[in-house]
Amino acid sequence: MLDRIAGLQTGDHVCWTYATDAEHRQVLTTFFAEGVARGEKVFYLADDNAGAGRLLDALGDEGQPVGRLQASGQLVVKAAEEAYTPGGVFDPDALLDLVRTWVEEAARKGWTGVRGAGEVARLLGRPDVEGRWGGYELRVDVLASRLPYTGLCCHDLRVCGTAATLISQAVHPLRLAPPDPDDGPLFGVHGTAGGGLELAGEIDCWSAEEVRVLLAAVAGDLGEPVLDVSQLRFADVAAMRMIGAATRELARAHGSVELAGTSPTFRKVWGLLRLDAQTPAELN
Amino acid sequence: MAELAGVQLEHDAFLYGSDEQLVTAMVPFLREGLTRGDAAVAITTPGNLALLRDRLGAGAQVSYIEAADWYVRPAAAIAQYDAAIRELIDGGAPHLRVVGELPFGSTAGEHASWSRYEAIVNKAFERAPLWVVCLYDTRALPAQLIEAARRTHPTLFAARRRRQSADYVEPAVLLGQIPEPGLPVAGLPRLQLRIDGDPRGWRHAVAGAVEAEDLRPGRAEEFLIAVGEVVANALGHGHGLAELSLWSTDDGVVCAVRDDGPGVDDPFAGYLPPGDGDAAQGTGLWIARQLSDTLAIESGADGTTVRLGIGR
Repeated sequence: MLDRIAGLQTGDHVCWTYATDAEHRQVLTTFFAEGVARGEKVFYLADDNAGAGRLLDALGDEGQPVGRLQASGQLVVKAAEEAYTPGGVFDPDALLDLVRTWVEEAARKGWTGVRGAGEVARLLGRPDVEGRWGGYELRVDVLASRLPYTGLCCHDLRVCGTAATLISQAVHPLRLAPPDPDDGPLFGVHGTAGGGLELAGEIDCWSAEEVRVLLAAVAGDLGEPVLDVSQLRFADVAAMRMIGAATRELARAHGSVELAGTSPTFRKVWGLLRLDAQTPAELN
Repeated sequence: MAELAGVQLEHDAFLYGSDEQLVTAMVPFLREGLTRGDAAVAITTPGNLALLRDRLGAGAQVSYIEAADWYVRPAAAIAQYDAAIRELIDGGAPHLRVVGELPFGSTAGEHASWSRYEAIVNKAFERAPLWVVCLYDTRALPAQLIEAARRTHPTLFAARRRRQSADYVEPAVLLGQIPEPGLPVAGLPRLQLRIDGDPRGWRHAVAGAVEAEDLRPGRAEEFLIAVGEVVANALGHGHGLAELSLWSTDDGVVCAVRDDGPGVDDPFAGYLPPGDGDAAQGTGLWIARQLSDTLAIESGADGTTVRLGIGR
């Protein structure tokens, strides 16, 4: 849980929920000013023209040379809907390719990295996006962890409500200012710096299927077949079976899988469920 | 369950009244097994292990295990046997021969639990390549345990001739005759909650209460998983609502989960090791039994209560 936006590093991927214009302005100007100072290419995907204008004004008020930044290509502002669903289509593969392309182009042009913030609240209500958003964001997280990329996903609670943000919160390793920590998701699935995955929090028979869908979405993007469970505080039978099935799936693609950070309890239940005999995994 | 096609469990009781009787019968039994290429194991008291080891000689490839290390709890002993038999099958040994002596404890509840265990073994390992002879010391054990041995073992072992036990009772029937010992609690519960499908409230409350107890490392975490499985079952059977109570006792923690469902029909529920498939049926209760020290199911007209306890 972050208590402030300043000090992010490349590879960080933050879920931010906000409910007032004042905090919106304060967080975004800090986020972008820091990126500009670091020589990063920064972009903002705004809800609409008014939102784009408000950010540019706010940056100007903070003393940023907005016109010069835009002219040099360091600051780019686009419409979120057009960026996330070009031609009206939500295509996670294409979006991930776009992020990679942006980062590569920015590096070629001498920027030290890419830093982007996008307004996503309106997207979460779209039927073609809703069920696939978590998988997409998790894939971004796995990708971001290996690129000079810093991402801030902006959720306006006045537009989407807290419940719609739960899946986003679950797949971002960093969260900024949720309204009440007890409203957050019980589980987390995140990318790791090595290109593997981390399972965190509590996974149970009520959430195992949701996590399974996320793991299936990201299976092809992993840089290393490592599932870190050191931050997993609770896993019941359904969760352990789901992890077993996901591990077998990963093993089919990668040959072998490491389950890292297993606790004595995890290993005990794993053995009692005979997952050790069924799953080609190395438990560490 | 660990099983091989075409094989069948042999489960004998051997009622012995002297050290010499024990040695005279069990040494040839183990030697015969070794000659056949079976794995041979003796699980009994330190004194009886010394007697067998002395008579079998240092060269005999028998594994000697103290009963207190193997027969910790009935559910755990079933898991131990299951794992051992699987290892044996994987290792290519044709059979496992065991001389075992249960530590029956001193209370009526412990006696009932272990007699029930003896009956469950007949079902859990009915197709396992296992021949286990259970030792019953008639000098030390009360008459009702000896009587129960005749009902829970299909065969009575003797040095010269084995014979069918005329008193043998089918395991499912016996489990009805010897009820699961309850878990008595006194006083007001430390925690009492109505629970529904949202795990956040009750799980965090139970975690907080159990972590405040002075349990051995890892036990609070294990107990929480056990309680979670029982709650998931209760919500499944009890129309999505259940009631959870938790007591702190001198010995540890007892948690009761009540629902208004009809209860569990299967007398072996949670006792039989899971197979290799992914079928989840009954596995939650298996894990709950493995991760708690005691678990008792009581079903009545007003619903079902599962009580599970864990010691300090």
